[in-house]
This record gives sequence, C-alpha cells and structure tokens, in this order.
Amino acid sequence: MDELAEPDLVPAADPDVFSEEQWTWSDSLLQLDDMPLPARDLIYADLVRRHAEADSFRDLVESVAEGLGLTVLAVSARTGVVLGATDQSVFEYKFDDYSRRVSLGERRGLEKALHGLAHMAVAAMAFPRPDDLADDTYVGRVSVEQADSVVREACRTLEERSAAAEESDDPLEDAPQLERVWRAYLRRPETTRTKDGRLAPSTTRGILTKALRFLADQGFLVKVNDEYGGIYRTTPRYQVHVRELAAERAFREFLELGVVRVTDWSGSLRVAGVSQAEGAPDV
Amino acid sequence: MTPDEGVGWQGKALRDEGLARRLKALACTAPLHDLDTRKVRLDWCEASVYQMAEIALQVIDQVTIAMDFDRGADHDDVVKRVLPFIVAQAPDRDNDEYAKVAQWVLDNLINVGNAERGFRSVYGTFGESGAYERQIFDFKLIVERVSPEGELYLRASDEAINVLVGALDTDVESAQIAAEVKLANLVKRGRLSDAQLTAQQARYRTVQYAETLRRKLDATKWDVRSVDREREVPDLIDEALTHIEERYRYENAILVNITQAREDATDPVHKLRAAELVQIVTECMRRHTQLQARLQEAGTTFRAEQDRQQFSGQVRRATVDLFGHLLAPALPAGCRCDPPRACLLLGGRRVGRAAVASAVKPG
Repeated sequence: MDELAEPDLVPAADPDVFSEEQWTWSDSLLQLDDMPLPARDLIYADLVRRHAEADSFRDLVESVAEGLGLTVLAVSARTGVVLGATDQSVFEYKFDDYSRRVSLGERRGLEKALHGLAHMAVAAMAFPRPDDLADDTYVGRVSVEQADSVVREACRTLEERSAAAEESDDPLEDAPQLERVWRAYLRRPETTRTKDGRLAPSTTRGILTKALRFLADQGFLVKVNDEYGGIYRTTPRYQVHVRELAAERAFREFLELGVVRVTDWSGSLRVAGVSQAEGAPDV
Repeated sequence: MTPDEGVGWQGKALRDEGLARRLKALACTAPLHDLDTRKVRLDWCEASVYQMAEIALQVIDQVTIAMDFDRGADHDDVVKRVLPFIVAQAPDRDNDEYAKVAQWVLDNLINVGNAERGFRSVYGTFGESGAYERQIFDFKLIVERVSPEGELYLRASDEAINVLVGALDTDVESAQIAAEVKLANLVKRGRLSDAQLTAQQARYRTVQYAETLRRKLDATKWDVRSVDREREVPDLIDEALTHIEERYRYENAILVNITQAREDATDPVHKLRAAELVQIVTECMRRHTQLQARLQEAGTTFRAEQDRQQFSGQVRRATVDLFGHLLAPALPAGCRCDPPRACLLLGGRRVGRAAVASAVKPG
C-alpha cells in the first residue's frame, strides 16, 4: 500500500466537501474488506480508528459504499471492515454463481434449495442459541458431520409427522418441483464411495463441505482440523455478517410470509455440557 | 348424477391406501428383476447363466444380517460372503468373474450411477377430486453410510428388508410382534420347516426395528439438538425398552420350546431344522440385548446432559433464533422456491481496487 498523508480530521466547514486525502482513505478502507485483520496491519488499524473518530469520514465511506452497492456492516479492530451487498448489487453473490456446475431445468431449483439450506445450517450450528449470535465474545464451532446430522434429524422429524398424519406426500409426476426440501435432503446420500476416494459434491456432506470451505475463503470461518469431516470456528466478521444482514432480512421475509414459529428467548436449540466460559461448544 | 360426478364418486370410493402400498412394494422389487433384464448387455462376461435377482436377494440378506446398532456391513465382506452362492450358479467360471458379478449386483443395489443413489418409480392413485394421479415414489435399497472413524459401511433400507421379508410396508413394531407370534405357533405345532421362514422374518424385523431406533437416536450424540427432539427422546427410549423386554421374554419362551423340540427329535432332518431355529432365535435375543444396552446408555447420557444444560445467560439484545426462524421454516418449503435470501449468507464479492476506482463519487 502507498504511503498515505494524514487526513484532515477537523470537520470541513461544508460537510459535503471532502478533501482529496479523505477520498483516498475511504477507497482504501473499502478495498480492505478482504485483507488481514487490523491488528496485523498498522495502516489498516489506523484507518479503522479514523473511521471511529470522525463522523465526516464515516459518512463518506458509507456513501461511497452505497454508490458501489454495498452496506458497511461494521468497522472495528475486532471485525475489520465487514461489507454486505445491497439488493441487486453487482457484489451480491448469488447461488447461481455459487453452484455453477449444476444441471438446468427442474433440478436447478432443487440444487439451489439444498445449497441454501446448507448455508442456513452452517449459520444455525455456528450460533445455535439466539444469544450466541448476540454475544460478541462467542466463538462458534461447526463441523460437516454435525451440521448434516442435525439437518437430517430435523428432516426426519418432518417425515415422521407426515407419516403420522398419514399424508401421501409423494410429489406428483408432473410437478416434481413442488416436492418439499426436507424430502429432497433426506433422499440425498450423506456420503458415497468414489473411485479416487473423494467426497462426491452432490452428497449432503459434499454440499456442506463446499459451504464451509467457501465461507473460510470469504474470511468468515477458520478451519480448525479435519475431524468430523472438518471443524471450523467462526470469526467476528461472520458473526456480524450473519447477525446484521442475513438474520434480519430473511427473518423479515418469513414474517411477511407468516411462517415464523414463535419460540421463546431461549431459542429452538439446546447446547449440552458446555461451559460458556470456555467459549466454544465441542463438536 | 352427471357423468363427471359419477367418475368422481367412483374415484373417491376407489381411493385405497392399501393399493398405494402394494404398488410401492411391487416397485421395490423392480431393481432386482431389472438386473436380469440388463445382464445380457454386460460385455465383461457371459452373464445369462447367473440368476441376478437371486444374487441380489442374497446380497441384501448379507447386509441385513451384518447390521447392528453401531455398524453396518463392510463392502468387501458382503462381496466375499455372497461368492459361494454365485459360484454354485456357474461352477466353471473364474474367480475374477464371480467377484465382478457380486460387485456389479451390489453397485446396482446401491445404484451408484445415480446422484441420489436411489430408485424412482411412478404409481397411480386417485386424488381427492377422484381423478387418476401419478405420483413419484423414491426409495433406496442398500445405503452407504460413514462411521465416526470415516469408514464407509452398508445398511439395508426398510424397503430392502420388506423385499427380503416378502411383505408389505407395515408398522415395524407390529410386524415384529406378528412374526414372533406366528413363529411361536408354528413351533408349538411342530411345523419346523415352515417355522424357518418365519424365524428369518422375525430376525429381519428385529434388525429393522433396531435401525429405526438408531436413526431416531442418531442426532442425540451431538451436543446441539432441537428442543422438540429433547422432549421426545426420553419417551422414545422408555417405549423402546418396554417393547424390547417383551420381545426378549417372548423369544425366550419360543427358545425353550424349540430347544425341547431339538432334544426330542429323532429324525435327523427335524433335528437340524430345530438347531437352525435355535440359532436364529438366539440371534434375535442377542440383538435385543445389545439394543437394550445401547438404549440404557443413551438414556443415561441424555439425562446427564440435560442436567448440565448450558443456557447462555442474560439475553443481551434481541436477535434471531437461526434454527427456529431461518432453517426450520425453509424445510417444508417447495424446491422451486428460491432459498429466501439465503444468498445473503454467502457474503459479498471482493470489492477490490478496480471496483472502488470505478465508483461514482457522491457530491
């Protein structure tokens, strides 16, 4: 990075006029969303500090971000810069791009649904209780096997209820896309034996492994080891991201659809045998 | 009544859940028969001499017997155990060919060529309106699973066991009871050759029952679990333990009778039959004992963990229950629906210099 001059910290007389340095600083800050954490980079740390100290600089950063189609979710020493894409922004990552190798037609919807489910499962396993998401000190852990197991369990519960209700839930031959996601997930093998010993990408563990690796590339998770198909821990970036963006929007969508189950403050999941002081559940 | 109304009325009267079940039972045997249709196209051997459906039945049998609460069958083991049966069908071929045939049959029962490793068939029923509707029935026969140590093993599905038993899809618990009542009756009447099939059925049903329990308890090994499941598990374990105790007592009574029959038999064939029955019933009892031990263990662990339940303390700020509000509602949705904004969880693309440089600056 080039040496940058000290920006002008005194608010300008006209708040809409920004100095050349401030423009440069703002650009630099936004580009840093995928750089190492501030603690390791003094310049980064400096930018973050300035963002905290000067309203004018903060406003500038946010409006530049907005122009790009981004939202500034957080800027802090702990999280670094966390940016989210706004709706329809070019920076928005879509499942179409995420799972390119998928077939077209009616299977497309099914594949996207499964990949989407995998990401929701990772987020839910990373922060199983509502307060885990709210607690800045919480470090979540998620493994491929655990995520797969818990999702299958939820799907099986639905299957049992469906059988008990004696519904015939088999999809119609001419409308397979109406099949429910839980049935599709249960049908997928969890793992298979390939000739070269690798995990087939269409298996549920393959889908989850892809999700976890992707999130690690994004700087949201860090791989801990290879047990249970791969254990990852969360970063504060991921927590901010999930908390501020995904949860709110998706939650609002579901509220609109009227399909939200009412749960109490303790949530729908229980974590057994873990001391909060240790910070992370064993998987 | 107009012609349409007439059809509708007839349609409603004809709606028959039993019919749907029979059609499904039929569909489950199709992949086995299919093997005999396709064998002529194999280019690596002259396969018409082999009875592939019979070999398939043997394969499913081997997998089922090898299944217990913790494990399943090892792939190579199954191939090995089925070999003698294949050899008997065509004694003049070479060992490589026998192994390949076994592997081919097994791979096809798993259905490795299909991404979902399952089979799909269509069956017709009469819908609510009375009109004839075709529905999709998906099922699996042999399933690959992975052990905690990362090794692959095989299990037989409910549908596969139903093929073995030669019966319809029924409630497993009552099917198990029925098989054992029948067995007791046949033994008492000295009908030992008839009893053999029934004893095997009872064994298969025992395996199937253990499998359904194992599935239900699978997720309890993780320390994160849903509240619903937490409430259900203790009852599930208690019910299962009661059922198992009853089965064990019943089997014990049958065993006493068969052992007596074996002692009293003078005819060697009769004696042999009785000995086989003793073996099968003893195995059922062994499985039940194992199941009981596992359940008691699971129950104890579960209760201990409930006591150590960790709540995260004060709610710091209002936030979302990701499992209950995000994941759970997505499951019953149709596959056509876009995962509701789940793409947000992917994060954004990297911003990078070029993007920033090209941004339109405000002001």
